[in-house]
Parts: sequence; structure tokens; C-alpha cells
Amino acid sequence: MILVTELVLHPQSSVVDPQVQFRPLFDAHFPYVWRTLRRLGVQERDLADVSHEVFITVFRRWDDYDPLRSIKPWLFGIAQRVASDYRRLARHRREVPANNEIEQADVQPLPDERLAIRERQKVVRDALATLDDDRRAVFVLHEIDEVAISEIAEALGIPLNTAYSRLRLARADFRAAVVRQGGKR
Amino acid sequence: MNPLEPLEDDLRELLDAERIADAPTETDARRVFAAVGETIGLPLLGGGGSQGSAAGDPRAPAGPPVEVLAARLAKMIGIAVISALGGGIIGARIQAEHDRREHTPVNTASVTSPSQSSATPLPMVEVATASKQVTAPQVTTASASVNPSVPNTSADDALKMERSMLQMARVAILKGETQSALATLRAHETKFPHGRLSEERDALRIQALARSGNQAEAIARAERFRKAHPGSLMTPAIEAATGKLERDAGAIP
Repeated sequence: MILVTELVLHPQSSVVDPQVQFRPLFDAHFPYVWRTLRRLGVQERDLADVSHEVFITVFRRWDDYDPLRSIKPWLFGIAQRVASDYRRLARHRREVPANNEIEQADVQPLPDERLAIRERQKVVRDALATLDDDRRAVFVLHEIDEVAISEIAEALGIPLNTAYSRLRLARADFRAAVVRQGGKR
Repeated sequence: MNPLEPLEDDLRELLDAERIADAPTETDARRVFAAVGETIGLPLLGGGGSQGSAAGDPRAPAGPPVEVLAARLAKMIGIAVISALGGGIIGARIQAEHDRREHTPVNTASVTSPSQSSATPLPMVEVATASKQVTAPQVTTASASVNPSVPNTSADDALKMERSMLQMARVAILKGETQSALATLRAHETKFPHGRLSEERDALRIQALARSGNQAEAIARAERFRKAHPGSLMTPAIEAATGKLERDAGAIP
């Protein structure tokens, strides 16, 4: 039985309008998109601009979203494409800093625990930056966003075995990158 | 098929740190939401974060189609949506109460007193209706004090937003996306700390917490909910969600 709630939210339904739904969608998922873009290599100073691009695309492609599926992989797919364009353009402009800007983003003295968390976050992001785009997508979705592999395969349009394979390779690459940074003995 | 070995503990700890990475600020949210609205060229409902509202934005086109669309959606959602998880009678009573308030004559004297309006939060619909009839500055102040986080949004728009957000949370719970549901409910609480559907929000949060496996918080919130809303129509739904947890925890016999 289709619940009324699902029917009302279905993009193809004539009663749905993105203007009405966009606000709660934005509120609920803006932090996720922001953090995802950061994990995909977007610099702190560019997060607002790139998030803007993502949500423009979300608005325009709203009809493509199937609400019976998890929204995270769908948003991730859009964020990944926008971030990829961003990185390509940034590379052309030769403006890609060597590291992300965790240190610069907060110059206040940090309590020990917060400092330790920041350091771990930097290790993760630097390691993620070394991964191949396709592997990184599967790795971030599964290991950080905790999306099931089957859902990831479906969302990315790849065979399930390919998703597993990418995840295994991504784990190995990530592990090696962390070791290179001295973050893991 | 294809079972994966668990990730090593030290890598897991690293990823846990990234999972709690800093969220964007309210300013970031407002800025991006405003930019999106401007780019799209549509009067989106409200602004990002807890501020800013295209509904009250003088740059927004006159005769906004948003209101028509929102009204249409609200009608479609109406009782059925509210009742999807909370029970049909609950949605019916909330809708009936909303309708009753909309048709209740407004005592304008009660909203023109600044001291009273600041001391006692007024029902949003009454204030909004009053602001249409009385242009005294005090009414504007009273309207803002009802929901300071949405200063330019009418009561009806606010209710529509509330419904829409809770709708999203409800669907997320049904789909098992409890973290997404909780994020939506947190956004609702930020935007509508004293919203008219806050009781339902709290009930949904308990259900989401219970389904997410966060038993301790679900039980604690259920206890607070019962004290805050004795005899609430949501109580059966909450007990259905947490009853077994509470019995297992020995909180109730």
C-alpha cells in the first residue's frame, strides 16, 4: 500500500512543487552537502559557492529523484559531479592549495580534545584527497555516510561487485595514505 | 555475498572524527539559500537557516505562486499526513483546531498591548490575522515575538513549513533513514522552537530515536514528553515506539 506521505512527496505527483519542498530539503541536507563537498576536496573558502551550485542542480533535477530511495546517494552524486568540475577548474587556475584549510579555519586555541579531532579530520581529508574519484565516492558513502553497498551501487549505476571492488581498493588506498602521513602504525 | 571485513579500529576512529566535522554556520546557510533563490529566480519559501524569508522579501514578485502552491500542498497533506504515523484522530483534531483558530474573531485589543504580547506568546494565527487588520507597530512586534526565527513569514506559511518539514521526517522514518529524520527534526526545532506542531515533532523524534537504536535518549525523551504533554494524543504512538525498550530497561513494569 502506498502511504499518503509517500504519494505527496513523490516528485512526479502533480501536487508536489519544489518551491514548497525545497526549503525543508535544504534545511535538512545543507550540512550534509557541505561536509560532503569538503570530503571531496573543496576548499573551505569555496564551500559556499560550490554548495550553491549543488543546490541549483538539486532544484533543477528534482524530478529525477525517486523519494522511495535514500536521498543521500542522490545528493552525493550531484555533489561529486559539481566538486569534480570545481577541482578541474581549480587545477587549471593553479590555485589548489597543498592541504585543506582546517588549521587556517580556526586560529583560536583549541582544547586538547578538539585539537585531536581536528588533527584526525585533517588526516582523513588528506588521505581522501589521494583517492581516485570513483573509489572515493564508494568509500565516503559507505564508510562515513554509512550507506549500504547495494544502495550505493544502485545510486551510482554500477554493478554490485564493482562497488565492492572499489570499496576494497579504496580502503587499501586510504590505509596506505594514512600510513604515509604517520596517522597509523 | 561479498562480505567485507570490518575496518580496522584505528581507521574507524579516524573516520568517526570526520563524521562529526564542523557543520556550516547559520550565516552560511542563509547566504547559500539566498543565492540559490536568486539564481533560480523563484520566491522560495523562507530563507536558509533560521533567518531570511523570501515570503516577506519586498523583492519577491507580487501575487506569489508559492502561497497558492503551498496552500494546495497543505490541503493535500492536511489530516492524512499528520495522521500517517500519529493516528488519524490526532491529525483530525490538529486540523480542526487550526481551522477553528482561523475562523475565530480576533480580539485586537489583546495584541495591541506590548507588555502582554511580550509576556504571553500568542497563537500565531491570531497574531497574523491581527496584523492584517491593525497596522500599529505593536502588532508587528507581537508577530515577531511569536516566532523570532522567522520574522517575515506569515503564520500560515510557517504552519505549512512546519507540516512540510515534519512530512519529510515522517517519510524518512518510514524508510528507515533515521539520521535524516533526526536532522530534519533538529532543523524544525531550530526554526520553530515553539511551533504549533512542536508536540508532534517531539513525538516523531522519540520514534526516530527508538528506531535508530538510541534507546537511552528515546526513553528519556519519552518520559519528558509524558510530563510535558499529559494526556497527549501522541502518547499511544510513543508507547508503541518505546514501550518494549522501557520494559527492557525496567523503566516501566
